[in-house]
Amino acid sequence: MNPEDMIGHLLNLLDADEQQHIQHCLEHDARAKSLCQKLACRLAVLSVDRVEVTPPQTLAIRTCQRLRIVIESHRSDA
Amino acid sequence: MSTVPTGQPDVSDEELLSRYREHNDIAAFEQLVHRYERELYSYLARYLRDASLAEEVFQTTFLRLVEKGKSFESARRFRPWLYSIATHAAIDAIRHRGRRTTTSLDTAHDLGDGETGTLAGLVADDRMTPADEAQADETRRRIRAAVDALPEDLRSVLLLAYYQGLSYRETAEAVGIPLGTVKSRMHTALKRLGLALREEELSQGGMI
Repeated sequence: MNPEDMIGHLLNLLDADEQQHIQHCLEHDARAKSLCQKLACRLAVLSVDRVEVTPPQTLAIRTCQRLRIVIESHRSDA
Repeated sequence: MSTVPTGQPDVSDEELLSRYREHNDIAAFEQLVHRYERELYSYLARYLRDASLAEEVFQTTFLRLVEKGKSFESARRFRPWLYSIATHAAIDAIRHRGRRTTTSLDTAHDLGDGETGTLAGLVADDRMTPADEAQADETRRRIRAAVDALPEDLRSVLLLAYYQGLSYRETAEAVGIPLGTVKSRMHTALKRLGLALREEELSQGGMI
């Protein structure tokens, strides 16, 4: 059991078959379970900063306005 | 005048891009912009540590998507491709400015409607007491300093996989490196962060 895959399991970053494999290991291997708990603690420390940053108001709308100008100018050039 | 699309959650990103490419459906493309507004801006703000530059790069990313949209390979997935373009645009912006910007997420910036505040304030949980909030702010500050001190190859993987939640496979596609390298970089980044945070606690006489 490698820590890379265990981290992937904890953060749901693995493909489905890998995820199942880790789950199976955790149910049958005490060392894997212990490693998992250790890594979960390390990740928990970081979780306070794992939050989405709010975008400025109307960012998407302003972006779309710029895009329309560019797309229209491409069309008129064509 | 563009408006917020009502949205079609069942339609995949790839399908929306295909509608734009094949039928010049601008509304479909705009839906992608709205769909990724929060997620991509959040990534860029964290990557660049500068709110105004993040906004500029967000717009540049979608302008580049318009240019590159026609060359999108239909077998690819949109999300890692978007992050790849955004990351390259962010790197270009940093080079253009000649330095990695140091404008902090804690710097006051315009929130619109005449309000100002900080990005750190925007992410604070309003159920917390002021003391909890101060503690969380301090922890965030320490984590961000440790993340910023990571070498770029580790930092980019950490931001994509840990903060943005891209799978290992998507991160590999976005960065253009093998899957195994993504996994090992993620592990190394977390180990180094753990060490850095522990060292700082020791230097401050805190508990480990």
